[in-house]
Amino acid sequence: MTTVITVPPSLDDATFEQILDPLSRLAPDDKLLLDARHARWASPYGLTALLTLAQTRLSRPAFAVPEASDTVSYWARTGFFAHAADLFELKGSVPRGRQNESSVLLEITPVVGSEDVHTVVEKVQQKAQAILVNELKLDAAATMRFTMALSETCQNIVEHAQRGGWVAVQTYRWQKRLGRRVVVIAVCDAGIGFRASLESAPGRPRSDRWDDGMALEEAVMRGVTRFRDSGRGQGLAGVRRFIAKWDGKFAVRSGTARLAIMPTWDEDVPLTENLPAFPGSQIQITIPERVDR
Amino acid sequence: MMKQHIDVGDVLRLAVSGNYSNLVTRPTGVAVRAYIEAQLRSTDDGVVTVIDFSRVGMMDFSCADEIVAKLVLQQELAQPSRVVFSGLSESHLEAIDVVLERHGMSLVSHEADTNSYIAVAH
Repeated sequence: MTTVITVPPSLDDATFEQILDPLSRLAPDDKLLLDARHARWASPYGLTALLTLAQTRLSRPAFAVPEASDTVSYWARTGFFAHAADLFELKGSVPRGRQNESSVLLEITPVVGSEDVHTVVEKVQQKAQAILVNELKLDAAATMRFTMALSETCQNIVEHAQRGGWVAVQTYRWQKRLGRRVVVIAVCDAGIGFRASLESAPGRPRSDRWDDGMALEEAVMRGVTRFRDSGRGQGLAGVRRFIAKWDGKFAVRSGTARLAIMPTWDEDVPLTENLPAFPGSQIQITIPERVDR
Repeated sequence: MMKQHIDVGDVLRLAVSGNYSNLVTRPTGVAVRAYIEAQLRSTDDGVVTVIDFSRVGMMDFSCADEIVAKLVLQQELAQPSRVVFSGLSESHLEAIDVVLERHGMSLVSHEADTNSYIAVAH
C-alpha cells in the first residue's frame, strides 16, 4: 500500500511539519507518494527539505509535481527538479533545462565536501553584493558576513552530518508577514543530527536532561562541539551573532526539536520540542530588508 | 630588521585545487597554514614574516582559527611577534577577533602606516 502525503499549497519551514507528522508514522521502507499537485509556492527550506526527505527513504518515493505552470516553472528554475529526478519517481511533466532566475541567489546545490563549500561561496559572492546592498539596503560589509554565514552553515554538513545535504539561497518579498523583501538561506541534510554528533565526543559529560533540544542549545548557543580542539564550535555561534546584527532570524531543526533566534518582527518560540522525528539538521537564515526607523 | 612577505592569496591558489579567492573551510585552512609553517621553518631567526591577506576575499571563522589563531599560538610559544598580519579587511578582522578571543588573545595595531597587526595575550 502506498501512503499519500499532501504537500501544503504554501511550503515553508512551518508547513513542512504537516508533511513530517504523517511521515513519522511510516517505516523507512513504506511506499510513499508526495502529492504536490496543488502546491503553489515553496521557500528554499521547503524545496531543500523535500530533497532531504527523499534521502531518508529506503524505497524511492513518488512525487506528483505541481499542476500550476508558473509554480512548476519556478521550481524548475530553482534547480529542484534536476535533483528530484534522481531521488523521486516524478509524476507529471516538468520543464526541460534551466533558465536564469533573478530571485534565485543560489539554485539548489548539493553539499558533500569542502570543495562544494568553496564553489557555493564563489557563486554567491558574484550576485550577493547587488541583492544585499541594492535590494535589502544592507551596508556593503554585509556581503562578506553573509557569505561567511553561508560558508559556516554549509560546513555544518561537511563536518558533522556524515551525509551530503543541500543549500539554496533566494530572495523574495515577504508581503504577509513582514511587508519587506528578505533573503533566505536554507541548508538541509538527512545526516546524524546535532544530538548524535555531540554524543560522539569522547568523554562527553552526562547530564540528567539530554535530548535534541539540549543538543541544539549546546551547539548553537554555547558553541559546544564533538571536537576536542578548543578552536572548534565557533561557526554557528558566530553566525548567530551576525544574524542578530541584521535583525534576522536563525532557526535550526534537528531530530525532534527546533531552536530559533528570534528578531523583533517574529512571533516564533525560542525552543520547540516533541516535534515529529526527522533525521539530520535543517537550518534557515532569514535576513530582512533594512528599514530606517 | 629583515622581513619576508607571504601573499596568502597566492598560497590559497597553491594549496587548494581550483581558482578560489575566499578562505573557507577547515581543510583549506589547514592546507594554507601548512604552507606558511613550512615557510616559517625555513626562515632564519630574527626575520619577521609579513602574512598578507590583501588578495583574499572573505575569510570564515574556520580559516581564521586554522590559519591565524593556530599560527599565533605556535609562534607565541616559540618567538613572540615573529609574525605580522597585514592587508586585513574589516570582515577579516571580525572573524579573527572572534577566534582569538576564545584563546584569550586579540590583534593590536603594529604599524599604522602599513595597516599591520600582531596578536597579543589579553
